[in-house]
Amino acid sequence: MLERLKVILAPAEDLMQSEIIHPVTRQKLELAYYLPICDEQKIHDYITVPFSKNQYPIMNLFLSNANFKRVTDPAKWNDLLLRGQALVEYQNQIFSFDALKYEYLNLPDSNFEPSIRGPQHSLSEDPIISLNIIRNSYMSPELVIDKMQIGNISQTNLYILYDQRKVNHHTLDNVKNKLSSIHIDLIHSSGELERLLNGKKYQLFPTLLVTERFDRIGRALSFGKIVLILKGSQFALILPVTFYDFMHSVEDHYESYWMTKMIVVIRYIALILTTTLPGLYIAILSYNPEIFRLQLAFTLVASRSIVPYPSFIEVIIMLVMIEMLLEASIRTPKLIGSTSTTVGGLILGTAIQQAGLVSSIMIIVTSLVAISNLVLPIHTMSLAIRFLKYPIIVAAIFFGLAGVFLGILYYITCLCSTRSFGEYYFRLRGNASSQHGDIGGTKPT
Amino acid sequence: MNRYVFYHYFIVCFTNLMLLVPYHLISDRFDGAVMAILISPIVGGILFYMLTNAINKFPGKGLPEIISMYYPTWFVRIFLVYKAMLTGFASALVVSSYTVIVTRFLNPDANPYIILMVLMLVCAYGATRSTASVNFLLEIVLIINIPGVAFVIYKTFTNPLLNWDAIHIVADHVAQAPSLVSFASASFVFTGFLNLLIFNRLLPANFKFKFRWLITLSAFFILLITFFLPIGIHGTETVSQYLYLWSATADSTRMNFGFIERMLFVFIIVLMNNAVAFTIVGWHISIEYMRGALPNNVIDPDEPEPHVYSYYVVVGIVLITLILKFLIDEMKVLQLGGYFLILRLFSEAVTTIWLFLLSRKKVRKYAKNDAA
Amino acid sequence: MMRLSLLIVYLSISIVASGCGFKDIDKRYFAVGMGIDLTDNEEKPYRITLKLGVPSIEIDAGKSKTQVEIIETSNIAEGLRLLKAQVDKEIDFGHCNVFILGENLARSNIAEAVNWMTRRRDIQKVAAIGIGRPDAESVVKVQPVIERFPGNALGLFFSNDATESSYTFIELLTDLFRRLNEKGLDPILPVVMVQKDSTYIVNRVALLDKEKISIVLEPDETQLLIQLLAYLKKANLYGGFYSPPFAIAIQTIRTKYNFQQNGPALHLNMHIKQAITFDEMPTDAYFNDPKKTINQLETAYSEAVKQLLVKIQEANVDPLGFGLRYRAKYHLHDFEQEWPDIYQSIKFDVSTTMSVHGTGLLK
Repeated sequence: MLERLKVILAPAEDLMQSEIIHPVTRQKLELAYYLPICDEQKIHDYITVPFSKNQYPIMNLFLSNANFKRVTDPAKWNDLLLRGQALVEYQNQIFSFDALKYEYLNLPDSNFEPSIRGPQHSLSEDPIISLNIIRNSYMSPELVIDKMQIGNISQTNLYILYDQRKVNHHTLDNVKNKLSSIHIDLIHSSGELERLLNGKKYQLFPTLLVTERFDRIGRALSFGKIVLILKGSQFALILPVTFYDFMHSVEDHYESYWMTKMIVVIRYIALILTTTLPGLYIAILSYNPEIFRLQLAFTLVASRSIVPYPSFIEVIIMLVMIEMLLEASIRTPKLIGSTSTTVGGLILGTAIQQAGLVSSIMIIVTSLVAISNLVLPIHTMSLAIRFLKYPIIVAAIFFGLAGVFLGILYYITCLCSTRSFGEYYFRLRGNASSQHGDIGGTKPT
Repeated sequence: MNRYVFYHYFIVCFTNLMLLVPYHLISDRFDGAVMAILISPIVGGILFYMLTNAINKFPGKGLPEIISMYYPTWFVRIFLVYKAMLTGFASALVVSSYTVIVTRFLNPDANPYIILMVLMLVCAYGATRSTASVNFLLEIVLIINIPGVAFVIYKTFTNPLLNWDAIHIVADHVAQAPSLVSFASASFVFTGFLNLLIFNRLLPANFKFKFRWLITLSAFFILLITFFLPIGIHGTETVSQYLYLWSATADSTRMNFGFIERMLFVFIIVLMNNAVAFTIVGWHISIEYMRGALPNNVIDPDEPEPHVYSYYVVVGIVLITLILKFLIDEMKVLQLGGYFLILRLFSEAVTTIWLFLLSRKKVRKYAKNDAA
Repeated sequence: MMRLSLLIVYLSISIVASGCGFKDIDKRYFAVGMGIDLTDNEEKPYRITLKLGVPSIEIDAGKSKTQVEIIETSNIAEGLRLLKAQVDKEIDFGHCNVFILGENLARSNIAEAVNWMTRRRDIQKVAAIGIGRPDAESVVKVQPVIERFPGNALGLFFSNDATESSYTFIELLTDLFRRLNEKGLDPILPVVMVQKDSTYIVNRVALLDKEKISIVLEPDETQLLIQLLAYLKKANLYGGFYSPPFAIAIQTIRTKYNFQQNGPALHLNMHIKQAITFDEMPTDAYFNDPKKTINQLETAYSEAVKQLLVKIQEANVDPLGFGLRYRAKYHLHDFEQEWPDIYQSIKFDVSTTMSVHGTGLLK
């Protein structure tokens, strides 16, 4: 049986295949099961222990216990294994034994990517539990789980998951090479791994997606992506990714069609707003006030007229303040966090405007920038985007509107030339592939 | 996908329509510009067919590779340097005329050299990226821009000031024989396919060119629109008095609703995206030609890091552009642009026909081999 | 290497760019209206009146504040430079969408002023131009009591979003500049008058023989002309027509004309198609004999149009672009020489077709 299984199944690190030979009777028992989805204790209790004790003819146990079922059709092996059955071969008869384990009770709640109607749990710090859930939800024989150790001292387990039929093998080799070239003593979190893998030091945009959600991992696997799970970390890494993956929330598949499509559009609007708005404020106020219609221009003038310094100082003061607020609310314990936002946001905001240090329009701009930044669904991207507005502000100070739009063009160029593990990061993806005459695809292996 | 061909065609089309081309066409509006507009799509279309047929015979190869298959190295080098200068100069013209527009309308107090410098920095950064990156950049910029261009054209088209009598009067001068410069500038609009000489490296081997007639036809309509709409708005006489005709035309439309009062600014931003993308693509081609002329060049359309040659070449281009800007004033740029357009028309036509003949030769060679 | 080059770029930008046009919005005055008059002084022929908006935090009816600066100068550009010495902030023309030319300027020559406006980059090509009667200064100076934004009232007069009067002709800078130079199309300018020192009245147009006023039309003629020029107004308001005892409101109007050579005489056949509703009429007048009523109205309208066309023709101006149409149809070797004679010899045939959309709420 084991020989045949090797032919049928993908070489997975988590498929336990063992041959037990009784020391006394020299009888042979072959056993196969997927480790993460099976209860090892149960297998132990019902198969290995009785077999080795040999108090009772084990064949009788297999035939009499309802948990064991005879399997005659080898085509079903696959399916049974994936459903958490252990396969036993004894005296040329094959039995399946139900040892399914589903560990959803041991999972922490999802905090970083909450969803309303999706699964409420996140990955566990114990990779076996995480793999259990993933195997349970992605029941495909094509799912491969490779294991390797990272860290010279820590020897932390790292699991590499992919769908072997869908994954791009060139990318896979690329990733494995990169992983094996990592030399580090200790590794504690997938964030560390992310930075090690991310390639260029000065890269503006993340080329790895960090997630704690099972549904996102399952979806990623089904699109041929590679998932890395590190022992002791609650976050998995998905790669390669495109920019659009970062603008996408799992919730988009659970809610009503039109509203989710609109929300995606809104995210892009938010992305544009959060990067350009402060720059535009400076450019319009200080270089090209004639852009706006008269009424709007006068409103701007009126709100600006009490502010004693140039527009860019105003912008910088407000933005630094909002960054500090955000930072403060992350680092403080949850109970105090809301207080700091109230104090900072409400009281300081109103007071600073009444004191005439900042115009009221600027308060609107700052809050809009902060809110639209929070609209972005993935934290890493949201952080990367948070930085993007500052170079644009500098460009706006020196070159006005032209500077703002040149800055955006520069970012677009950056995005277009970014590659996530050899795959294109930012391109308009039609339904065409290179077979249909589209450009690109990855390089031949 | 044929959409990439479309992008290369239209970036040239849009950019030149709004910067260089109208000036020469409008000043010849009674002296053969209409005829030039009618002839140019035919000539441009034929060249387009010839070039696409030719490069289809050389899948995945750019001009430098094709030429070096047939000719000795010294000749290839001279030829590629000439081509690089030609392409680089076109982009330099665009970027410097756009600088003038920016300093006129957006930053009137700024030093034009600094604006030029910044524009060129962004362009240089883009141009040194890999061919695939430039291709995607072009796609994104055009997708952002096409609605803007369409909006400007639509608003101008529905402008109540549009006077059909003036258009009629100019169109009546169709029988005039076109001057060389007006023909050259009209046909420049149809030469976007020349970018494929480098970007063919990206196209997959089984690429089939489709809808070539449609691309030419729509470019022809855009040319008609950009030539006749300003005449309808400004009349037959004043139209030649504006230096930046389409800026003036865009400014002549009232936008009643929305934040923005003057359509001019929408136009300038759209134009900037176009001009920068055009320059990036142009310089990229120029860099690739120059690299083809340099020894030990590695050709990789999707290189992870730009080759060091790219940086050398782009620094050279930027410096030359700056020096030219110092030497040549605003009015001379327009005049010189005219001569340049003529030169370019001839040399590109010659290149295209040459390549076409080469591809025939290749086909014949294979046919002979098969027979033997 | 990377860091060094970044540093060089950073330094060069920050050194050179530190003084390039950064000027905050509160350091600018927005010009909201400008008037140009002709003075008697030979050396300083122009008097420029500039209305500057003063921003205030309170935005309410009557709270708008403006400042008016006046200067006499030898030419317009020089005058503005001198004016800058009188105010404490930068003057910004980006929002100035009304320019008033004094009547005496319009009677001598407007070309220089219009050229100046067209050449300036910050003046919108869609700014409205009008003639101030008796002079531009008094028009620009007026501070309407109920104005909300500085200078808004005059601007709103010439835009389609607020008031839509069938007597107000809106002339935009692009169009004026075109008409000044085009062969076979002459400028029209609305005449702005001040009423009781606080409101404007704009119900006349002046027809210019290229550079100077040739004739000023009366309000009813103005309305008729605007109806003929309907393509120039995007608005849906064409006004009406009064032919006792009927008053009609015109809903839609389409005007077509062409030239016809009848023997020696050149005829201009103008056909006007209207959809109308009745504003005033004796009860049952229409229902008793619709055909007769309509015929009577059509003839009256055609007659009025014809009279207007003849009046314009006698003044030797061509605001409707007959010359342009003629150029499109026939080729003339020397348009400027030949056209005036041809224009004077044109006979106008006007016909009108009216279709009734309704008679209001009464029969």
